[in-house]
Amino acid sequence: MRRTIFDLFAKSPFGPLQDHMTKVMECVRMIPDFFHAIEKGDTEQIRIITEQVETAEFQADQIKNQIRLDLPSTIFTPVNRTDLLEILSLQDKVSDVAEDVVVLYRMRNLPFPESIRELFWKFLDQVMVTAEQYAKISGELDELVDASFGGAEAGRMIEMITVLTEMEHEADLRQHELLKKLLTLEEELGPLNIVLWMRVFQCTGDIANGAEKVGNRLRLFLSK
Amino acid sequence: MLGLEPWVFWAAMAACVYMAWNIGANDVANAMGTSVGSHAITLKQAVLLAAVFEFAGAFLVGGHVTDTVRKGIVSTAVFQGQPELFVLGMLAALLAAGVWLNLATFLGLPVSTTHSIIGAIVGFGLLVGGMSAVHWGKLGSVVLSWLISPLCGGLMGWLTFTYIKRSILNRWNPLSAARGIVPVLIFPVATILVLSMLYKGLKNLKLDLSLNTALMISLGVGAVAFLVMKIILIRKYSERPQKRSDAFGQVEKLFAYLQVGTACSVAFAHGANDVANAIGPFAAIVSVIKNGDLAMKVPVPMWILALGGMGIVVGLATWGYRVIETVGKKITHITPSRGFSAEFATATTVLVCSKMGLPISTSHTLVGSVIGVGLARGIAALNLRVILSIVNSWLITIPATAVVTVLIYLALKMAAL
Repeated sequence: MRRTIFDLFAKSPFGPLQDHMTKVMECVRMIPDFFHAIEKGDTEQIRIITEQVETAEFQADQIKNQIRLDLPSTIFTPVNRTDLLEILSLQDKVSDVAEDVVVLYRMRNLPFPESIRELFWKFLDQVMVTAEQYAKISGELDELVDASFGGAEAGRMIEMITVLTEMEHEADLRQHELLKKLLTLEEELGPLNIVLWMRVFQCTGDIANGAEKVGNRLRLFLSK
Repeated sequence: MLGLEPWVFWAAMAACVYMAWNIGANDVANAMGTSVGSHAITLKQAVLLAAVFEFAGAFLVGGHVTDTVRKGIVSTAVFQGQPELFVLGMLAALLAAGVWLNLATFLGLPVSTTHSIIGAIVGFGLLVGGMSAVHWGKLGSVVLSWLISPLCGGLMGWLTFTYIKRSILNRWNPLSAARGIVPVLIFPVATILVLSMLYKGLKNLKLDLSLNTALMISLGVGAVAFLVMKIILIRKYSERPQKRSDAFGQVEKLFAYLQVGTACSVAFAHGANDVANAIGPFAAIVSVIKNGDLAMKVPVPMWILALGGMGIVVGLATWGYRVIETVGKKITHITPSRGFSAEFATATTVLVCSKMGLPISTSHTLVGSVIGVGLARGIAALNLRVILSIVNSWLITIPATAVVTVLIYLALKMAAL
């Protein structure tokens, strides 16, 4: 291949970063379906969703690796390259914890007691709202590139991140409420199931935590 | 006709046309690539604009740099009494630069035609005339301009894009800001382009305008461009966009108009500066053969400027358009607002250097300008390794062309004297 001065233009990492987030959200969006299947006791559906989550998580990993490959230290980006790679790895953790939720549950096919369902759904809804808010922010990245990371577009993004932080806080509160309820069920579930449920809640909550962390990392793109 | 075989003249002309063809085939793509890559203009439009403005630049303003190449680098005084050697040396330089360009293209090195021809001329100057044959002061200022022109392009690119960012892209309503600013931006583009054509440019057409007259006409053309842009905006872009996300797309569409202007300027500037790489040595040869001595007081003949311009256009038409197409497909991440900033910076820098008679590399100035836009956070990703390969090919080009020139010169001397 003929080399020219136009080799100067390298592949933009921002589109692939958005593609990665789309894959991550594919994992996350399957979590409610997963618990619906549990409620119905549909084991076949549970198996199918588990496989789908695992596949999507693997594909997200592949996108992540490709982005890293395309960003050697000789590539100059309008945002700090280290911040960019950090955001990628935080984003990737969101799909990791989504996979953990599914895998952990399947370890023991936990019973899903009626009495925690309402609180659980309240909690999961809030986690999903938080994750969707980050997905929305990630969807604005291309406009942020167009606007050269400053001005009004950056202001809009900061507002969205502030909302994201509030949403994550609400998810935390709902998680505590749910946990309190769970701990009253010691007799019914047994200590091992309680511990496993706690881990499942933790991982589910980490989806929202992870989304909030990436969002706040994204602020670094804007501050300079 | 001196003590030379008559074929020397025809060989020189062929070598000159070949070099001009080379510039049209390979270099013009560097000048037009950004415009095609950002989809501001189509391939057809690029070829057409390049043909017209490269020729105009070569014909109208090409003389300044040509003068430097033909008599600024090597002192003619040293060859007093043996003008044949000077003629053969210049021919050897032309051939060596052409050979080196082909070799470099084959090896995939991004070399500059300017550096090749200067290296070649210095090579023969040193061999035949020794240290005293080279105008070291002039050569020093040329080499210095090779360092300064990318820096200058970078600074201008940074300033232009930062201005666009502050006044348009960072606003709450970028589109309405762009409606106000875009006509203002076309004004300097049109004024500088026309001024560089008119001021000292029309000498060849026996129309030497004074600076004041040229300035008045250029400002007038700038004002007309401003008004035309205003009318286009009112006619075609008066409705508001439905979605906010469309706003940046619309802004870029407006910049595509501006980029047509800067594409013309870059082609003009490129023709003005780079034609000298082909016709400089040939003009020197013609002058010596015609007058039988080394005086060279007369300006570069019009027909030689036209020959160089035509050579570039033919190179563009036969091969260059394909290179532009390839390059345009490769760069897709540059948008018109960024392309405009980089091209405006490049065209202005190259035009100023051309007027000063400094042979610089248009490609390297463009690289500097693009990096300037990148530093203003305008470009998604830049591969800085290219700078390294450019510096490398720089360092190889000068000694390589010097050595090839020496070899060709020795061969020519045996054949032609």
